[in-house]
Amino acid sequence: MALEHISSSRSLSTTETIAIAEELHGKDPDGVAEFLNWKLAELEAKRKEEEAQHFGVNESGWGLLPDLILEKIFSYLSIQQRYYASCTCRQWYLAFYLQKPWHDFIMDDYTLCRRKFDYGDRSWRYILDHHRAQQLISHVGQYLRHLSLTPTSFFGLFAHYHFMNHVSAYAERFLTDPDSVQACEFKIQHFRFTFYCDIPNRAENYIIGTGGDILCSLKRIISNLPHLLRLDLIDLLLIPEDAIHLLDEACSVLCQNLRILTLINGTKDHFSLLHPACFVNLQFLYISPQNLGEEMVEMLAHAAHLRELHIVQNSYTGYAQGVDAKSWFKVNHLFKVFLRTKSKVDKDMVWQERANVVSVLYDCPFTKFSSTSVITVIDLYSESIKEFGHLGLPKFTSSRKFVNRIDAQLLTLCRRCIYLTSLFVRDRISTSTALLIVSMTPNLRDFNIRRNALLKKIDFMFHHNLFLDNNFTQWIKLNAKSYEKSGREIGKILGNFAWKPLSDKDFKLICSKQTAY
Amino acid sequence: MPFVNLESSDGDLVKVDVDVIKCSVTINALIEHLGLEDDNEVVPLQNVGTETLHKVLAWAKHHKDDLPSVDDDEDDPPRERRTDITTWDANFIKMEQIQLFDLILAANYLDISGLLDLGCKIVADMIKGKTADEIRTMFNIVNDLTPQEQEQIRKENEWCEEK
Repeated sequence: MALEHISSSRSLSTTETIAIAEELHGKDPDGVAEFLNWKLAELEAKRKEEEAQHFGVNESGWGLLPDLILEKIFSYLSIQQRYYASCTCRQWYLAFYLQKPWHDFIMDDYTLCRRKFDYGDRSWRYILDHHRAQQLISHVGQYLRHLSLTPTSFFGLFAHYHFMNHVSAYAERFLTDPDSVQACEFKIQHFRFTFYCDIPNRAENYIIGTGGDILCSLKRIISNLPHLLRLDLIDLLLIPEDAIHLLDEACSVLCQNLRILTLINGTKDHFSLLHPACFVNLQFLYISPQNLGEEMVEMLAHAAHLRELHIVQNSYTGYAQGVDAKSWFKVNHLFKVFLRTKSKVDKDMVWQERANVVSVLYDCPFTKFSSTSVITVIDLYSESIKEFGHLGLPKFTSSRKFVNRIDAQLLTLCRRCIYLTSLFVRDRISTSTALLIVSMTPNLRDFNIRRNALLKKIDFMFHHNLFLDNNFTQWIKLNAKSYEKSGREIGKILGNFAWKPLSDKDFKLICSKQTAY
Repeated sequence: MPFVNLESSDGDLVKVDVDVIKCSVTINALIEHLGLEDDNEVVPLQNVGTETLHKVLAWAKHHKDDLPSVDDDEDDPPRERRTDITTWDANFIKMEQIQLFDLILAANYLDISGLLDLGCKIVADMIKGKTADEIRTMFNIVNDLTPQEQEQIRKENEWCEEK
């Protein structure tokens, strides 16, 4: 009777009821209730499990995602999150060891670190957890392709120093004893190290360069990465005695391999290096003007594959002078030269006379558009330049009056440099000037101006040296009156009907792509 | 403007501008190889349901003027992989888990990298800050690892854990 009651309330199937009834047979009445409860709980659990299996695998299927998708998901996760995800099921555990998510490894001040209380300073410090660093290298070290070390504080440098030494130790052990558990064959293709050189000080912000132990471990790690195709060393600010030997190891190991070399601010002040010209298959070279000398430029003529030479200045670049025109003349047109200045403080270009400069870009919020730079560009590069502009948003106020604006100078530049294809204008210009620029620069394709800096004004008659015919004048007057019309006309001339002046956000986005190194 | 008819797995026909669906490598290849010139040709998609297909097309329409992404450029310096997405995408992706799952599979099948990235970013965001158990409950994943295996994984990958 009890059985009937239960079977109706819990909706047991007939076979289940019969099975229970058979088991009940011959048990004493006291034990029956207990046994029944236990049996029912067991059946319930079994059903739940079946249900879960059904929904988990067949209905939602998250546990059985293809590797390709898991790979993508994992590459967006932190190391810790990858570990947690790997514990969920077999497929995800296997995904932990898929190679692609490990290709990029960016180390910052907190990666693989643990906190330690510093009693001297009475504050927490992050120091490298050596065990974890070694585990990372032995588990996934072979998958790393891009290794980027970017300390963001002075104390962060210690963790990076130790991590570099671990990598070197594993690589060196692989040469002597490849089967050891503490050996790893690295296949890193891109190594990047940015030195943190801002030392906050109460009196003033002063800048220090590296050297000593950090330099030693940097040279050691480079000599242990024979697969490098790209090497970036940024803001090392060495003293000349150290700088001259900086790339010794790199030259002997990588002289055939290296394709891209970035050496920004190898020293602070002028000191001409020779090593960068030794990599015979180099295709792209990014270097600061103070490390570029006559000998190197002439040696670069023998780097047969060199396509682009970017001369980059940033906030920490000290005194630099241009290379002699004679040297540039000797290498003329073998490769393209790009001039870049990316600085938080007001800074002008270091001009290179007679170089084959195709691009001049400023990314300095405090550097104003100056007539001297326009005249220099026209003077030196009017035959070669294809790209000119000031990037980012200005951090100074400027007048809306025509005489104080840059319109006239910009137009002069565009009329004199007929090969210009792209232009970045962050300062205020009027719609009429924009129309004049696109109609007078025959090769212009890529015209970036800010919507917020575009003035609806007809002030082209102030350009004194323009002799325009009547129809043209009418056309400008008609179209400069409205943003829509001028935008449409500009789009027509550029052959890009979707052309629009950019919002500040888009302008910044486009700009940030231009000066990345 | 050339059009193409897509047939979902539910048997519904959807007429689409070729320009909109050009983000799909799979369909592009199909059109190219089959030479679909007639407007009435039908491309069958066995793996994509009608509801999902409409979602995919809504996304493709909004992003049809986007520049091709250069996400997999090997020459680029490594960047922090960030999961920030635009407001439009964030509103678009607000859906049930099962729909999201179908959308990701559809993006994978149709080979639309932008949409696949978006889906993976969202999933990664959902996983963030959760333990293994929480992930399992959230996605209804059955734990097919034995306790011994779990213990072994824990020993093997414990180093990943932040302390």
